[in-house]
Amino acid sequence: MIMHIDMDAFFASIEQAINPILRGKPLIVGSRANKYNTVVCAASYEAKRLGIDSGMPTTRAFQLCPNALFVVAESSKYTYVSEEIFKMLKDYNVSVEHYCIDEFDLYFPDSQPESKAKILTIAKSIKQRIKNTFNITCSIGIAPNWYLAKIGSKIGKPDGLIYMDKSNYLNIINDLPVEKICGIGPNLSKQLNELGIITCGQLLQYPKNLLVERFGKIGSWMSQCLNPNYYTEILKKESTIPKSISHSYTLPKETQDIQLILSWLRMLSETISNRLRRLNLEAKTICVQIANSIQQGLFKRKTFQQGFWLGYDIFRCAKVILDLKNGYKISARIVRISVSNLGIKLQTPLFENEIKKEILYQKVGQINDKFGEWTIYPAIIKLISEIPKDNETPK
Amino acid sequence: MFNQQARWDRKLPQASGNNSQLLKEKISVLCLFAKGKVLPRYFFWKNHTFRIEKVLFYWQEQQGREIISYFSLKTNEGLYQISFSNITFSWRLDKIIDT
Repeated sequence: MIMHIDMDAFFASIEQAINPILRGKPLIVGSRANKYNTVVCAASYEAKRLGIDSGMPTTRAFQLCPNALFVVAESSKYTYVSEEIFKMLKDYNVSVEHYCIDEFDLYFPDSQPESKAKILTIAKSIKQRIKNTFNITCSIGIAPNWYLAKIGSKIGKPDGLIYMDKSNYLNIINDLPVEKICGIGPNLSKQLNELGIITCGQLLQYPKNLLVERFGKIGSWMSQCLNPNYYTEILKKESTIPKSISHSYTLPKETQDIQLILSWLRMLSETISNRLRRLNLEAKTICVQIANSIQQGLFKRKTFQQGFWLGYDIFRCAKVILDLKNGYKISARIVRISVSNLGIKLQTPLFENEIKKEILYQKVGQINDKFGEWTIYPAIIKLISEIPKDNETPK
Repeated sequence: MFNQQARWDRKLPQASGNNSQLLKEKISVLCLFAKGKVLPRYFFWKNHTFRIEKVLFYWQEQQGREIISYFSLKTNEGLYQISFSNITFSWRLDKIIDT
């Protein structure tokens, strides 16, 4: 059996626990910069009831609820709580996975029917401990496969506990819309709807061969993902090497300043480089995305023969990928760099310049590890701290 | 591990919204170190004693080798955030959340 734990409105709940004045009120947790010109990182349940949700522009959120309260997200506290919960879950002597900052999986191998009571006791204990320690709640889904467990955690929100086994899972999921399945987004669900598949029950009954014919591999996955016998152990991390590392940033406001865009790209490259250095990895594929309010973005990717891990090299590759020429105009609100095709860094540089560069990066990394990230950083990044204050009010 | 926020990011104005008053002032704290925990009881700021009624939330942040412990507090006079550094062994009043 798999137990999927999903924290309820994680960031917003933590902010409400820190400041009780925010409790019971519509609350938006957003990124820095002007509150009317950013995105919703998280919303409290009171805000969600008014239609506000993560990823929404705050302009829209404040149209829906002009009196919503706003706090600036501070990732360090969310990271700390997430890691503390992860440590707490390890007390239960079962395999634990950190799915993302606010979701965790516990694996109960070779579960027997009589262990239902035991698993439910553990689930209740986890909920109680999280509540007692952090004064926040979570929703738990328990099922024979990960997708069902994930659905269970979603439909029970907030503070829910849903147990599914072969005897009751059909009753629970039969009428749920297919978009409740993790991995089926708006586009896929629209295509499924066109085939007459609206609910999970209809998806389960739809012939597998027709799904495969229409969607290929994804069709095969869709035909199995709700089957309690579907083996989802594969979702556990098979190796310590991640598939990709990505960092993005939503700028306080849209900019056409190439130097500023480049400085953000350099910052993201350095952040990725730090992670690659700690994991002793290098990346061969580099992907750059620049999006603004008009176009969903410039999205370019390139695979190189040689692997990179130095921030400067990643940045240089990103510039090559973007192919910025003199006079080229670009407008950016969101900048993102991701690296994939990761492997253990095996090759040491041969040429003196490369050796020097690598030693420099190692030393700078050691200093930053000792005195805190960004104690030493490339000068171009300085531009970022010079973004003018924005005092715009909503239109 | 999730990455810490970029340092200059913190320098950006906390801007708009539910702005707590940022102070970052050094303070004296009377606290109990017990069972591996730090339990602040009183803090002293501007010739005034604040009795801590409840620690509402606690979290830590690592900055290099320095670990900063943050406490969100309910006192007899309002809500405050204080922090303790394990390197400088000093306490700071970070914010007045509400009075």
